[in-house]
Amino acid sequence: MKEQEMKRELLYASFDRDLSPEEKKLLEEYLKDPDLKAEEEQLREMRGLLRETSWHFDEGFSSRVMQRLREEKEQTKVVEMENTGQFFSLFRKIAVASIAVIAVLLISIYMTSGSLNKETVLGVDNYSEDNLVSYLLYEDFSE
Amino acid sequence: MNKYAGDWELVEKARTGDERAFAAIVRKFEPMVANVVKGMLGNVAEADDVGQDVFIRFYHSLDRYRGDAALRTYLTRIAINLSLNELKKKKRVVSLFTQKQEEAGYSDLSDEGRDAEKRDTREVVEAALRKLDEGFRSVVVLRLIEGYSTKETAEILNLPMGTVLSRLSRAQKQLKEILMNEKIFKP
Repeated sequence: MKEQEMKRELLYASFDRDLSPEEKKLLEEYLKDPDLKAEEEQLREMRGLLRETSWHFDEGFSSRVMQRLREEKEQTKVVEMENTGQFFSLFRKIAVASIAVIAVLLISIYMTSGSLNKETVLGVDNYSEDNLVSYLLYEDFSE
Repeated sequence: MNKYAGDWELVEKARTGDERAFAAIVRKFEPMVANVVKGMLGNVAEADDVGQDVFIRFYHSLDRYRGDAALRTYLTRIAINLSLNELKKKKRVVSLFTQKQEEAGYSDLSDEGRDAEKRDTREVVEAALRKLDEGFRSVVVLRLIEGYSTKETAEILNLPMGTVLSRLSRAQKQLKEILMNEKIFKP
């Protein structure tokens, strides 16, 4: 039984790999057995049937693939545009809010100092240049 | 001249956005992809979608394709992987589908009283294939239907040669058994 199985294994292997010269000789010997010879024929026939088996997709397959690709590209464009649109919309909101904050700051500076010159905006309008230098240099030491 | 040069040229053109070149690739490899996908999944509705996915996936990986493997092999690898994924995903549904077919007498290969000779042999082979475990089916589809060498089959499936040979042997024994029950072969 085990020997028969070994013979079959060699027969099956002969279809899918190169046999060594010794194996070839052995298989020739084995194939004198009519049962194994019949199995070889069946195997050949079955492999022939499988080779002839083929499938195909329904007509218009390539058009469907190309259509899907086009739709995907369109979809990507729309998403990109939406993202760009969202970015600009967010940017606009931030810009408007920033302008409003700056305007409020300027108005409050103007209302407290009565002017909008550079010194007032920077908050150094009460210092002369000398005072400012000595303030920056000595303020920490005096404490 | 390299026999795959034409494929490479098409890939290069497709990379630049040439739709006609990509369509030519689809048309050229459609029969092979159909054999792999339908061989694995059966002639089911999902097979068309999976087939399309193969080419869409390839389109997205056009820049990564370096031509190390022949385009046919590359696409086969995508097709087999997507088919195996689909089988995993739809395992339950597919088994129900097969069950329904069997109930309808479509693939009940041992149904007594059915005249096997009247049935299309191809149909019997297809039904027999569906009876195989997916690991066995994949080697049969690649080696025996698509005609890849044992070495190529091993590379595509990322399996050792020995495993492919043993799966082929076992799959063929099972198929032969089924075909004998179906009276395609005499016992």
